[in-house]
Amino acid sequence: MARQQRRDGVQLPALGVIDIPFAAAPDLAGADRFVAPRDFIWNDTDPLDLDGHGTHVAGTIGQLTNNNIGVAGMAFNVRIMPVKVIDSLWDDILGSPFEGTDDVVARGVRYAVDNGAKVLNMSIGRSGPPAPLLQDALIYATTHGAFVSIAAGNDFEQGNPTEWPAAYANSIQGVVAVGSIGRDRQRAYYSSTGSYVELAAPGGNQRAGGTTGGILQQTFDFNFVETYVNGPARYGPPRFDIFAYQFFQGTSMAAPHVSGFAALLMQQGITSPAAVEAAMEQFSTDLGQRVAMIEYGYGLINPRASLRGMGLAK
Amino acid sequence: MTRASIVAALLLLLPASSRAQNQFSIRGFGDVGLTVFTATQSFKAVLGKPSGPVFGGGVEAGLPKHLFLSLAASRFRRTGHRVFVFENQVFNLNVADTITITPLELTGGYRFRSWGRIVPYAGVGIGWLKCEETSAHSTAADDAKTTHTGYHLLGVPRSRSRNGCAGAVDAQWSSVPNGLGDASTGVASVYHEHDLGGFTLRAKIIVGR
Repeated sequence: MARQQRRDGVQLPALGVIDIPFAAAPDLAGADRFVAPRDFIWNDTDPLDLDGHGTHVAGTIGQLTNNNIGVAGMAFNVRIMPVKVIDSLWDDILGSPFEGTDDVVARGVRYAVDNGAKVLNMSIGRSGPPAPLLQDALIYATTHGAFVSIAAGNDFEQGNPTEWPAAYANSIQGVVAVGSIGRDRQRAYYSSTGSYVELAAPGGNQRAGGTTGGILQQTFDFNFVETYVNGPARYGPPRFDIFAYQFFQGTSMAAPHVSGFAALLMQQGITSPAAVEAAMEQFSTDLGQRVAMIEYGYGLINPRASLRGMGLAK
Repeated sequence: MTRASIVAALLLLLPASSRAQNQFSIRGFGDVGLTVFTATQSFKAVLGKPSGPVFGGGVEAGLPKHLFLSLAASRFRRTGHRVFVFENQVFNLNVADTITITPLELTGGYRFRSWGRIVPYAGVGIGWLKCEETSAHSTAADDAKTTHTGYHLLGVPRSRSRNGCAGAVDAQWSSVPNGLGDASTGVASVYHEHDLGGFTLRAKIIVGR
């Protein structure tokens, strides 16, 4: 079975569906913030982030605000359901019984929906053959009232292969594949293109903008996580409780902007996943690339315009 | 139609009296009424219903040969919510949206023969309509302030003046073509309803002879 990867441009197996850790960063945690956690890699209810990708993604969705700490998330008042469906390197080293195959991801999607998730963020994907199990899971999600945001993929410079499950997005109302732009509001060099790309959101472009051209969020201090990087002399047990603010880039970072945005729209009153997608697309900002639908889809998300919606005449 | 009814109709259309033909008078009036907008779906989506109260007033000049000229201003103001419409489903976004419509209308008309204490008359006119739409958290660029020109027809059964006062019921149909425009952020464009006119029924108190 094909194996999913995270979508931040780093070739490591990582986290998944709502690939969010249960042990949360200080700028993310809050009373009753997390609901119905589930780990499909270790088959338990303690989805620990052993990578940092999920924590970063979760921060973009729901980092707290007005707390004088770090940065802010798109939807600071949402509750988060951490569902781990992708294995990280540390999961593999520690001998996790499952890995992030399509069926594991599909089970995660169905679990999240069955437990009340209204927005699913999938900063994951893979190339290769289609993933009908995921297609079915996505249809299940939308028909049960859940909107799904999927990273479009980071492999543009690797031949721009079709990415799954992103490629299902344009055939399912309420599922959106998200491409990435940098601060220059141009498609990031890595962001995959295709007819399935429906929206663009900030995902960072460190080639154009340097390190700070990425998306800043709180996640692990990788000096204490990737202890295998600096040679045997510095080998040591990893620490997953030391946090830092890190710049990441990838469509993994773009998708949670759309997920948080979707949560805001649902809070605002648009409860149908298909209508959420329509509201995003109708009010997206045309960057002048309408001809380049395969790069930006309908354009750059415009939360303010979508949340304002329509008046009588204007 | 019978001959008798034709004769009755012709009598009704005759001028009220020869004495009134050469009278010149000025009257003031105040009114309260209810407007049902032509753009029913658009108003219903934003305001919850396609109608609402109007208040106004004006002056009316009685002219020779049973003619009259009136200048009236009125105001409709109601607050609803901004919405999103998808596949005919209206999602209320809980962002307050206030619509204020202020027509200034010039009407010319003709008074028909009185029928007991009732003096029917009809008119036609032109109106200048100011439409404002503002919403919570909006900027000046978000708000709409537009002025449009429209036209209207009205018919009025009025009671004869007594001690300088008279009552009237005024039924008016108006059209303001493209008054709602076709902005992509307006529900009017979703429903293809662009006319800002409607049907208004008013009760008037007229002061003066």
